[in-house]
Amino acid sequence: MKRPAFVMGFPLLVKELTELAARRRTYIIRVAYAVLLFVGAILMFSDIVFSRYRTPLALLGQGENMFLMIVALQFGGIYLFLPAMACSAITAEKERDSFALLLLTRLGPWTILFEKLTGRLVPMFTFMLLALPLMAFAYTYGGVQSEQIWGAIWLLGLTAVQLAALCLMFSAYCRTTVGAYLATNLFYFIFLFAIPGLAADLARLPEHKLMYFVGPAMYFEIFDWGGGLNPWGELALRSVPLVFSTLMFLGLARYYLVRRAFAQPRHLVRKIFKGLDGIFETINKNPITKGVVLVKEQTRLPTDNPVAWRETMKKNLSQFRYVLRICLLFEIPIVVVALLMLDASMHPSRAYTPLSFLLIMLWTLTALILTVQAANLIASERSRQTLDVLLTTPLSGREIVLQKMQGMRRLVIGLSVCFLTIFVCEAWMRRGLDMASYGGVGNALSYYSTWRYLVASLLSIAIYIPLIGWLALWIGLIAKTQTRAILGSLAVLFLWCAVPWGILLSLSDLFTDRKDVLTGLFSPVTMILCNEFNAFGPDGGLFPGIVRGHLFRWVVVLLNFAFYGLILYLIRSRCLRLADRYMGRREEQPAGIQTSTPPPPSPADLQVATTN
Amino acid sequence: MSVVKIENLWVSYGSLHAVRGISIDIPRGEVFGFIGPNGAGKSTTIKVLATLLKHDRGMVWVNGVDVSRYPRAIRDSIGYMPDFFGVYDDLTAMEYLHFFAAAYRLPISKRKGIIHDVLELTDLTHKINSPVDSLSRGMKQRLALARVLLHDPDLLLLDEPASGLDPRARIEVRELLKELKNMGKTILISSHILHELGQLCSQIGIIEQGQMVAQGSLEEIYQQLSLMRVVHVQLAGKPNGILEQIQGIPGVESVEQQVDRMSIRLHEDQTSVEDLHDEICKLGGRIHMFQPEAMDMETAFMKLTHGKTN
Repeated sequence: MKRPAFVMGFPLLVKELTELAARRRTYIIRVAYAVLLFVGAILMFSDIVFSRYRTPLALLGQGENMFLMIVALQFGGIYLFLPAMACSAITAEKERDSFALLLLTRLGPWTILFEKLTGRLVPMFTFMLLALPLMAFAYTYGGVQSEQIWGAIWLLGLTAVQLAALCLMFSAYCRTTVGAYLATNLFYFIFLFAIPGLAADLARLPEHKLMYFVGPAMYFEIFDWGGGLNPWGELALRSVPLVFSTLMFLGLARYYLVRRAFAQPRHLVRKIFKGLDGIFETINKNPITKGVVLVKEQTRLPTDNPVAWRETMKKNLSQFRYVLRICLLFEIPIVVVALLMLDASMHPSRAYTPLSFLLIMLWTLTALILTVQAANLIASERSRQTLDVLLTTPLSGREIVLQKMQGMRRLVIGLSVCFLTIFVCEAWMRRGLDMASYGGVGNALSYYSTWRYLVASLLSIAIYIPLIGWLALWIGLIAKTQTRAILGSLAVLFLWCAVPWGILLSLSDLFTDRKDVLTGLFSPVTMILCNEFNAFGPDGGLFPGIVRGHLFRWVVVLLNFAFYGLILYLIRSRCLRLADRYMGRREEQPAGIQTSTPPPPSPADLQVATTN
Repeated sequence: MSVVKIENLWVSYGSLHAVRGISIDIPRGEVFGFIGPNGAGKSTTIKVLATLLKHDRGMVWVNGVDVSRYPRAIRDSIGYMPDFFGVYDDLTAMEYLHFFAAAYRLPISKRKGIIHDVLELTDLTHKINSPVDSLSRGMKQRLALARVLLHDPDLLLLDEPASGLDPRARIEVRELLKELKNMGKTILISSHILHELGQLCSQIGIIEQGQMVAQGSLEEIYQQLSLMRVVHVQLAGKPNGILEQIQGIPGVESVEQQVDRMSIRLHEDQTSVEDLHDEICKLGGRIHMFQPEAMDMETAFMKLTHGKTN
């Protein structure tokens, strides 16, 4: 039979869109996007409409501000939602072993990439269309230039395509969706934000000047901050790096598509640790230490707590030597920076030190590591199909969960040591700073500031670290797959930290009010930042004047941790109480509740069952 | 006393009724074979017995204990092997068995001996220190069986224990199950390999679309379906007219002459295999080979089921 030379149609795209349309998740995400967009916009608009202007006429021309806010929200939406939607484009096929079949069809690699890319962009563009009523509303207030509208359409579209291409590249390279998601976010953050930001810092330029590959920076420079005298020319010129990077990502996606189609698991963490083993062993073999072994890890067999035994003896991030090495890896830069700052800290003009930035980095890494670890505890058993076997043993759900969490204890202790180092150094330097600031006399103000810093810091590691772990474990218990558990946990944690801040920033004019400070405390990061950047200090720090009065400061600190402690208690007790149900096995029924009318088991029957 | 008693079991996944009114009674020491197409409800029923799934209606007892009320007590008396391996690849065989010995809270002093015994029974003693990851599929399946036996349960729930195994591994697993049967274990086993179940099971249940379509011993099912036994006979020399004479024996449906033998289709309810042998001898036939075929499970299965799934 003669085959037609060319058949018009996009079978893969049709399949992708049909699959997306059939999933309940698609509609939930769409609603979430719409809710975030509209709530964010309403909060921002209310600030303009109700707070700033006394007469309706004064509002004329304010449409531009509103429009730019919507564009900013749209950029945020792209960065938040698109990676979660696009990273699974190829990896999902690999995970369900259907990618080989796809490669055997007449679809070429470029066709596969194009249809996959389009399949992920179409839903994103439909999400973005949700903003049209808001844009129309903003337009009616006047002040919006046509260049701003077309520029927004062009740069929002281009940013979405660039990010989708990046996701596709990592999806083609990685073996799992989780890997692709983490790699995409890490790459975007480091290469497109962090490095230009650092370079801008060194060159003493505004950061957006060096962010050639980032759509929003470009948009606001041209259309908001007056960076472009000729917006069209500027837009065309500055779009070149964006287009170039997109093409490069697509080229790399094509390169990896077939080469990494059957990538085997690499156990990256295990390999990194093995590499570290080699480095530490080489360092240890010297005339001074002579290969000394401080703690010899024994290969014991499990006695009473088998699940905890496996978690501590067989998982890389729980083994003593590896935890020690992670601890050293974090600890060394902290100590070096602390020593370097020793002299500078005595200078009275400095309010905070580079250790604060190390602390933020440490919190970010800790949250990432703990979330992935905890979300994986039960989800990995489920995906490896070992959970059912474990559930038919006499171990109760509560015991299984508690023993699983024991595996994280060493890691938490190791990370806490790093935190404590920073806190102690900071407190010591701050005390020196305060004494210098106040004429070398340790007055009551500086004394209380230091103690409050230490108490708040210690409470933060005592409550936040277990909270992150139990929250991720809870989501891991509920989620059906590893991917959902990890991505879901990361998303929940991110939203919990970011949403209260989004609300606060949109109400920035009202920020000095005490009730808004309390609103800010609904985000766990608020206390960390307030504490670290001396918001409670006598000089105001990052948030000048938001909290006045010693007693109120202590109340805010204690209230914050009491609140999160309560949440921790509720999540933990829920996980333990409903562990059996979450993991999918029958719970012991209280006497009297029966599914129908059975003859009650005789004591002899029970005896038979229990003695066996 | 029955080890397993199920009465009018109903299980649903949302609006899908996976099991609809199944009733089973398995006495102690019996091997019950659960047969049915994919999606028929076999694994669901086994999961209910393993305390992994909640049922909507009906009653389920193991050793007389209600599964819905006392799941913890049930877990001590069952050994469950799912249709996948369920093994930890990062452990060695010894660590794996010690892990479950601790999970079943076996006395520490007895663990070593018990593990040695189950490894010997499953012929894995030489692999005691091998990582689970390095074992073949058949070995992993035997290791899973060893794990199931650690706490000496009364009832073994084996969901497709031979699926995905090569012929040698399948025969090894089958022999192991025969040994467990001889040890007096009550076994509920689901499988697609019908003739193997025929050799092993004392009772069979055929399930389709969540309903039991036939249940009983092989002979009972055979009679229920009016299936005929095929007997292969080779005669040394062939007396004149013997074919017609055999055809005339009551209960013989047909006699088919093949190259080296005759295939006799026999209604066993009218004439037993032993009586057929005697009758042929009486007719002057000198029997060189007399081979009744094993019960034709595949025929029974095909006759009873329609290939429908939920």
